[in-house]
Amino acid sequence: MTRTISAIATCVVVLACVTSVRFAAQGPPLQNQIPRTGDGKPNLNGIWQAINTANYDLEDHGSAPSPALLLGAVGAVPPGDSVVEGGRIPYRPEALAKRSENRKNSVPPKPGRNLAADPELNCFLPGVPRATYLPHPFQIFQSAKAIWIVYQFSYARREIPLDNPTEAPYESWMGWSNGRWEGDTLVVEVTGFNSETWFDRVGNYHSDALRVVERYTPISAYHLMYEATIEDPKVFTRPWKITMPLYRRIDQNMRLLEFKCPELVEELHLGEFRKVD
Amino acid sequence: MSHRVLKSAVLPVLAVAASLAVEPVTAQAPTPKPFTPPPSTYSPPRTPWGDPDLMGVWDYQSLVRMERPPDLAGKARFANEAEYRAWAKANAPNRENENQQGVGAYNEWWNDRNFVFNLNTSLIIDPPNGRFPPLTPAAEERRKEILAKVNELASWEDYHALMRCIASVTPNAPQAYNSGTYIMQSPGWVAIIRERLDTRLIPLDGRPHIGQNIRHWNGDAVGRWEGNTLVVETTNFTDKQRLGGGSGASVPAGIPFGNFHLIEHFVPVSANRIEYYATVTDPTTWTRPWTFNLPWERDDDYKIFEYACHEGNYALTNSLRGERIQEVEAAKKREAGR
Repeated sequence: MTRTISAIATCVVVLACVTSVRFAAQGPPLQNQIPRTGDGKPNLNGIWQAINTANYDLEDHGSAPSPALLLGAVGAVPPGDSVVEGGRIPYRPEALAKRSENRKNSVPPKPGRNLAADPELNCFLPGVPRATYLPHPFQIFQSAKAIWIVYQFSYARREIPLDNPTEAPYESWMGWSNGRWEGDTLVVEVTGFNSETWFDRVGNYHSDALRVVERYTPISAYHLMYEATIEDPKVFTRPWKITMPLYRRIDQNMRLLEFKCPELVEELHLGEFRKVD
Repeated sequence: MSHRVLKSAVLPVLAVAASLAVEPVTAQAPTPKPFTPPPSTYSPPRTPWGDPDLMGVWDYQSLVRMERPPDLAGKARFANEAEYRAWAKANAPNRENENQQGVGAYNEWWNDRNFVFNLNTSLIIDPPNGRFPPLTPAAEERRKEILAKVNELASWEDYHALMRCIASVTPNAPQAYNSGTYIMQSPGWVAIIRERLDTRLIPLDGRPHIGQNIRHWNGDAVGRWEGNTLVVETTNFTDKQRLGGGSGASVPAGIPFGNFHLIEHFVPVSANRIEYYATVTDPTTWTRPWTFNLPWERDDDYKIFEYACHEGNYALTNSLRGERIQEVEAAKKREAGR
């Protein structure tokens, strides 16, 4: 017991040291204290990451072998419970067939630019909410007028104006975001999506009628609770919601590194067109 | 302005010119003095945490090119705004000319231009002749090899990073379109968010650079405020940016932008203008460091939109496929001619 307490105490001290750099302006916040900006809003600035298996499958799933045989346990699918409220995504019956087809095509049978495959595999922009729970960190920048979220994955990022909501001028992969504060919760409404992105690697999908409402609520200095309500009457019988915590990355000198995946899929997409002498 | 101020401004310029005149052009200067931009008396607004506030969209379209045109040789600056405007009018691309020839870019009609006023006659301000310094003999050799093979197109690696939808060039020179750049700040950070592909995340907390095994297309940037000037030092560039040239490139074709050292100064000089300076040091390529100065202008009407480039990049596929088809056809012809 004593040893446990002293270990916890050491952790807290180390944590305080590590985070003192990040919070230089205000001093390190206590665990249960929500950091705030000068105007009293929660301060979401920082680098965050989801730690779960939602990107494999939003719904509950057991472990499964690697889709690439040679990767063995390295490429195997880790198990995870559903992040969907109520467990199941409420597909319209006729829309389920498309998910089955997606699931079958998620890993392509041969190299090339396989548009039926998982868009993540092709390094296409991940859309929302998938960008949040990709296995990569993202960084939030916050001012009184706007928030930017920069994701490590490819060139994904979003501008979220807080003071001047506008209509999506055209459809896009990451959608068109407008934000506002509701108490201590940042609420972001996202519309203007194309129909090209998936929610996970097993083909859960949407149409261009997708509308997402995200809620980012700080629950400690180091955790945000993230909710996304998904509406798409062409594909689902009713709106449904996913929930997960996001964790502040407090690794020393943490920063996003380049993951410019267009380069990483060139051999896959273009290999057949390489000159062979 | 008093005479004393004028004199003190002129003297350092003369001193720099004199020191350059005796510098050997075939060898790296022994210990090049760090570039220091001209100071500004403008004091920008502050962020709530006390940093200079540069947040918003900036753009840097420029009629003035990297190198001073031969007809302006010896003239580093336009005498006044009127002289610049007259030159700009004579040198602006003609949007109305629908018969414009050439391939490689959209025709000028499609470009939404807002050229930033600039009294300098070249973006390169050092060397003072407004030209790139001479290449090292080894780099000159490399350049010839690259240019000789430029049409080989054996694989995607023979295309610019931009055509591969990977990255623009850092440091960025003017480009024809989509050069809107959002500066976003948070305590301890500056983000430079280019509409076209790249986001540079710059920590200001004095941390070291990332490990030497990690190489980035845009390098690894660390920054600090010196008064109101943001100073950014970037290393850890990949050596894959190997062709030079192309849209927004700050070096001519054939000069790879590899493992160099970059210092940038962002000097806010008014509410709507930042004087941006980039100093490149690469002794394996250039015989001396060089600096260009590109004015950035605030553009509140510019809304950054998603630049989904790779997602629709059929140009690269089709171009490579075309190359291979042509090779097969050429081989068939050779076969038939035997």
